[in-house]
Amino acid sequence: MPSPFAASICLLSALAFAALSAFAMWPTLRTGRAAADCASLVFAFLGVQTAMVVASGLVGAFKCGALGCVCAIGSVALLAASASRARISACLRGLVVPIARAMPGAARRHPLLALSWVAFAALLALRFRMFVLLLPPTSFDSLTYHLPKVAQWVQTGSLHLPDLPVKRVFWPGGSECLNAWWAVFHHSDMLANVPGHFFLAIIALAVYEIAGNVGVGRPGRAWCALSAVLVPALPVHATTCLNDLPVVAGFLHLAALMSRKSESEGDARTRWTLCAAVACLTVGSKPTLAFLAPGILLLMAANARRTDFRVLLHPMGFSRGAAAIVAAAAFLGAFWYVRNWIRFGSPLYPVVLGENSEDGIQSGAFSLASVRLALGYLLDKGGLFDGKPVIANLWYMAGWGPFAVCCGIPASAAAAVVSRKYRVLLFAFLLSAVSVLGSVVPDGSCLRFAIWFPAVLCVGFFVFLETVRPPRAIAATVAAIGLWTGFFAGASSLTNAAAIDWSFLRRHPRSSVSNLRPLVLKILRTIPEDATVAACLWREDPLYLLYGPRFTRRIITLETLDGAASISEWLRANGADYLFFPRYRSWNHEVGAALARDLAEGRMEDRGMGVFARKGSK
Amino acid sequence: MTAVQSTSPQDATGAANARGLSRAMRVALSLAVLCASLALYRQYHAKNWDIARRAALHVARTMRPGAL
Repeated sequence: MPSPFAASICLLSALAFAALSAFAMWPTLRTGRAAADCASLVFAFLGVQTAMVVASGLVGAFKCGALGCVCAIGSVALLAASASRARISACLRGLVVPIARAMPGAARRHPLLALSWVAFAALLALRFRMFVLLLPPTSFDSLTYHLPKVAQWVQTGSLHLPDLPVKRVFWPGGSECLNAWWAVFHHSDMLANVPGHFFLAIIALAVYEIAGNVGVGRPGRAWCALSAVLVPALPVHATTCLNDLPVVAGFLHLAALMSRKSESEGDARTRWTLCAAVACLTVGSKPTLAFLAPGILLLMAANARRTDFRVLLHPMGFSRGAAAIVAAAAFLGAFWYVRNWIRFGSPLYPVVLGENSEDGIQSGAFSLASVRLALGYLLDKGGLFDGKPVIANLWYMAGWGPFAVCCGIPASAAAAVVSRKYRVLLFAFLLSAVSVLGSVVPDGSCLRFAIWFPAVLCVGFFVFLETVRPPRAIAATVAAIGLWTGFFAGASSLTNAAAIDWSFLRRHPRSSVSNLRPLVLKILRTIPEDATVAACLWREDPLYLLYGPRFTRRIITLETLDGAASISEWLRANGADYLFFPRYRSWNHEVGAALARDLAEGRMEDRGMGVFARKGSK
Repeated sequence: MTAVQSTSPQDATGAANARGLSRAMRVALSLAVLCASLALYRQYHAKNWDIARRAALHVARTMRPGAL
């Protein structure tokens, strides 16, 4: 394991390489719209990280030292080559100079706007400090199958196919690649949930661009962006290592690109390049982007011009750089599906199209009954009004927050009456919402697939203010409600943290703050950090906690005894001293009966909370 | 009929969208939005205020010196 200092140097070297590569790509991805271009830059930065994880993982070099050295050499090569150096310096000039020039003047002309951006940055910094550095990811799905992937990759230094009972572990891992990138250097999950904040930045920039495309003025766009990232479900998701936020960022960036018409052939080529790259990278994180496609297709149709057809019908007109970017993104997106196809015979494994599995695995088949159930959770069962602290799996709640619900919904309805552009946008979002809610399993947490929807409601509020132009007294009252609920939305997203037992955090920094606290404490106390643990798990047990925060414990799966006479014999043969079997009275009766015999005959000890130790182990 | 005037170049699109909206229509729409916002906020407040209050008390209780 590297020393903290060496790990930090390697991480900085890797981040510098990712940033320089993104800068070198940026001229190919620029459309001339500042917000969309910055969102594309952040996407490129994340894309390079994903590419580095996949490339190093495939050759078994996904390790701190190897990545740090390769990235340092890559950075020097990028700066030494005159072509890339010119692109990087042009990019930095294009990024830094206008901001430096515009800042003082803009702050003088629009003090409220400048203040809002400072508040936004401070809020994000606070969240970064609070949630990323202090709190580990606490979501059930993260602990069940997202983070175990990360732990296995970091332990093995490769894109090892995990041997775990949770079948969902085989789903695409683009999002986990980013978590693993931040975890591999320090061999710790301390920073694993950092990437969520880059997705929040993309969401803010995309909403800014969308608002501009439907006619909102610049100050209004900034407020749209701020109110959209304060929707409680988003910052909560940003800290949990779930893969819903990449889909939100990808969908909103696609909507930002497609909610305006092409201005020239060059602009059309860049937009279609970006569209393909973003779609591929997002599908590599989670295939549910495909369910959101109808809304994007509607926006494409509404804004299509002859130029777009001309450009698409002549693919040779695209530059080699654009083709390379799309090819790389297509590889990164398709990698997981091809792997599953080769290994399991189905690219979508473990999904069986058209069948709802008992594991709660998505069926992918559209059904109006699912839409009705989801709307029932939203309206009849009060999911729209939350009614409990917002948690990432959004069980029977929408997590949209008071601003989008109280101000966004009525204002969007009014804005849709008066603005044709906004009407098209709202209809596209509604179409995507119906499509996704009709295509996923309609369980109590299905509303988390629609956490991108409040963005259009936030935009609607400002379209209403700017197009309807209410009389001054009414406008002031509506704006006051907006400010109050917007602030309350930001505050309510903190209730997730507030619901945690903070005294525990003070005693055990970062060991674990979760609803599984007793279990974690038991594991911390009874199983040594470097132990090999056999786990006999039900398909949905949150096994990540077994690895430990520095991925030091090795986990092997025990499903059958494979001819061994007893559990202790099986453990000895596999180099393990401990068994984790939390449901041994109700799950896997073969192993359960063998364990009962071993306990009765004194070969195993019950250490409580599902932890069993071989006689004589520490 | 009072047409909505654009006040700055960047607002031109928005104002163009609202062109032709009468003052009575603007007032009616605005009042409808205001009333709906207040009604929805009343619902939201009723469902969430107690949670926010209890969460704040919980943090205050568990973080105060000597709570351990």
